[in-house]
Amino acid sequence: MRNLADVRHYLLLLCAFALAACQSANPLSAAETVEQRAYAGYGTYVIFAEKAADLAERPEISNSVKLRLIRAEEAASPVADSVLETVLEVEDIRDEIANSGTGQARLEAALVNLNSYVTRLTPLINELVRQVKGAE
Amino acid sequence: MDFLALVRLAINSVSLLLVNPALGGRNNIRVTQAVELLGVLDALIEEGEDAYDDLKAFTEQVRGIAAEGRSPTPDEWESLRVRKQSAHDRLQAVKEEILGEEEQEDDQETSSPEPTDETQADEDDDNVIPV
Repeated sequence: MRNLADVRHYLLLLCAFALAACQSANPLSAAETVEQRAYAGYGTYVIFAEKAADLAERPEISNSVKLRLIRAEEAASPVADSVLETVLEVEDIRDEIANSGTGQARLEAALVNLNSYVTRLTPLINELVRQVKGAE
Repeated sequence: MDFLALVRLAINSVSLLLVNPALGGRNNIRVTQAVELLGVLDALIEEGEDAYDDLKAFTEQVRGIAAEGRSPTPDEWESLRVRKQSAHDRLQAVKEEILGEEEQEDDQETSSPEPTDETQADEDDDNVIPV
């Protein structure tokens, strides 16, 4: 069923690219600050991880495609966790600044880290969809 | 009825026509493959439609947060974290199921008895001259 698999994969990729190109369905484009961007990136990953899980649970999807979806999500998951951990760190530092007035340098460093993790997460989200297309 | 719902209705209608002999359908491998393809197409459109709706709604949420000039709240983050963990756990469950199936197939292949050289031994015994 290689032809069927190819059609499935291209259709899913087409849907994903159409979604990414459409501004009304592009959370990252709506974000303005680093923390909003982190939330937008993390949420986009969650939406596609849920769709991957929905597809993986469908009997008509082949095991090879399912495993590729699973591996793509496994690659993105730790980076997504790092995004959330860094967000919590940023919040703690902001509280510390509000209470003691110190910590501005640490806040700036944490925000740089957060931006870095979001930048790393974005291609991993794309990979989550690409793996479905690349499966044979 | 929106466009995608109309497309899905058309897909399901064609599937029905293909397999129903009373409506001119046939039962052969090509028809089965075509019906399977239509089923997958329907599933993808359904998932794609859901993903588009989810992304659109989430974009509006992010736009609202940006318009309010604030950072996402701990509750908003926690809601996403719970969904993330659930999706991850579901995928890991599918992975365990697939790997379990593959392990069973491997066990069945290795447990098949190998042919023994009993016939040659019997022939050797026949050639022994009793003393």
